[in-house]
Amino acid sequence: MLQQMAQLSLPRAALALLALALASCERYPEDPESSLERALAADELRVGAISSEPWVKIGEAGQPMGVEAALISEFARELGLEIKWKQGGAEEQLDALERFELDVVIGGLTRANPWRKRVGFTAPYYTSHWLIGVSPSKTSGFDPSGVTVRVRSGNGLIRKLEKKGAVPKIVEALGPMDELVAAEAWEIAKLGLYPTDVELRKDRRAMAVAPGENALLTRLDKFLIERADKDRVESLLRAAD
Amino acid sequence: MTALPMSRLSPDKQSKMKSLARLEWATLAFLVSIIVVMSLTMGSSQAMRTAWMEDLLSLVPPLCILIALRIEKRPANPAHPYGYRRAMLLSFLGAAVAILMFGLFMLYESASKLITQHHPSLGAYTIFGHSWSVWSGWVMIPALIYSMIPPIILGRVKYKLAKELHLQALAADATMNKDDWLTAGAAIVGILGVGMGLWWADAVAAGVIALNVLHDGIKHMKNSLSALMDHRPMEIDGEKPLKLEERIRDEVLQMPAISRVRARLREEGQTISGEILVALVNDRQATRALGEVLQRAREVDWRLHDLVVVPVEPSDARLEPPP
Repeated sequence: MLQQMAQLSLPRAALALLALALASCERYPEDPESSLERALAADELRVGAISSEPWVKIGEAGQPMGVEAALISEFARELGLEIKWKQGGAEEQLDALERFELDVVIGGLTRANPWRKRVGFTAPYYTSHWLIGVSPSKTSGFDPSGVTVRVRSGNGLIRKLEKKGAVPKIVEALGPMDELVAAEAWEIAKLGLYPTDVELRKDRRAMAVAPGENALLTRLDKFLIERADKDRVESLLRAAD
Repeated sequence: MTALPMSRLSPDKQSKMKSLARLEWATLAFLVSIIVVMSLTMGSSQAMRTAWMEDLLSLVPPLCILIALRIEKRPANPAHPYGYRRAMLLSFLGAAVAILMFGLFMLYESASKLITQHHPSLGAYTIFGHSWSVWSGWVMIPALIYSMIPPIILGRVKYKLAKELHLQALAADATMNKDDWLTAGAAIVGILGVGMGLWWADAVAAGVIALNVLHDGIKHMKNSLSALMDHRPMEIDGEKPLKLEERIRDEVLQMPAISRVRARLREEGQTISGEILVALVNDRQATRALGEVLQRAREVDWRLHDLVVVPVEPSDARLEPPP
């Protein structure tokens, strides 16, 4: 009996909701905690910045700079909002985001971040390809075994290089005189080197948004899809250095 | 499942059994396509994830039926004088228990999402690193509508077939397909609810789907258990007995050679087997009388197969049916 009742009312409920949804199409989806509404009303976007070059760099005056800082500033400008910056470590910022004390958190986050289960993540706006780069003479049929590759420390590439049979040489910075490096594709190009097809890692860059705040998330997603294409991001990356 | 051997079926029923195999293959093909579409669109919606798991589970009954149709054809051999019927019934029970366990797991997942107050984040649709400027909900809903249509159509056809062929396992499978309107409907309502700012709508929808799976698991289990427990023949979708025992008794008592009779029947899927205990008036032409008893009994219903006629003393207690 319950089955029959449900069989009649559930499709109707679905249709009614669909009609309601389509009617308020522009406002779809909505924020359970009204983050976007609150931001627009207060003319303010609360952004947490985690230091992670070149995505976020804290300047001498304490002002966040870098690729993502530039992008989020542009987003805020587009909505007519001022940014209220908050600086701090990753854990505390993402925790604050989870409690709706911040709207967005930036800082070189990737889609592989385990916080993905606790806060919202935008669609990946840029994919970082970490490759081995060589000087022009050696691009074809490159074999990484036994070669010494210069890499900056802290990139998480040392093990990967060792697995491929290469010998990582950890340096402070990569320079134009280097012949064999492990770095992101755009950086390899900037150094005047050529990318081999040895891919070490792939990072899908994204920004974090308060959990379930789908109006804000979708709005930011749409902005990033439109304005943060590959060329734009790479030009920001080259300028940031 | 215990299908009757083809030789015992009318030509009409034989062709229906053949179309059964075709329908189950079609079900599998559509389910696989639905599962692929759902994996590409489900994102972080708990309701869609649960619906996708339900679709995965829906693969099990058709597989069991197709395998049963194969294995049950195997003739009895000295090692298995009664054939392979029980193997299939046990596998159905195993499948039912698996579906039940999954239902419980899915219920646990949805409940924990509610308890931890998980707000699902659904942004622009993205797959394999590519994104589109459309809310992922608008991609999920068409996928769910597609996931509803083939199972409902196939479910209806299979259910009708199940009633005509009296295959309980097929009826249970068909019901699981027909119920996809509930699964997809609940998921759609859940996603629309999230879109309206109701964060809990997704988890509640997932819970509804999980309860439905649980219900299906229990139904399958009851069905397998009753087949394994030598149940008396019942109507396919009801609780009413078919009263074949009484009809056989009435038929056989018309024979002057028989003084008392009792039929003891058990239903194993499509097949009904059992014993007919008779007390003969005298021992003259006993074999022929017993043969006639068997023939009359079989004519009562097309599913009666594997009957054994046993002559007993008129005072035998087994001639009295249990109270």
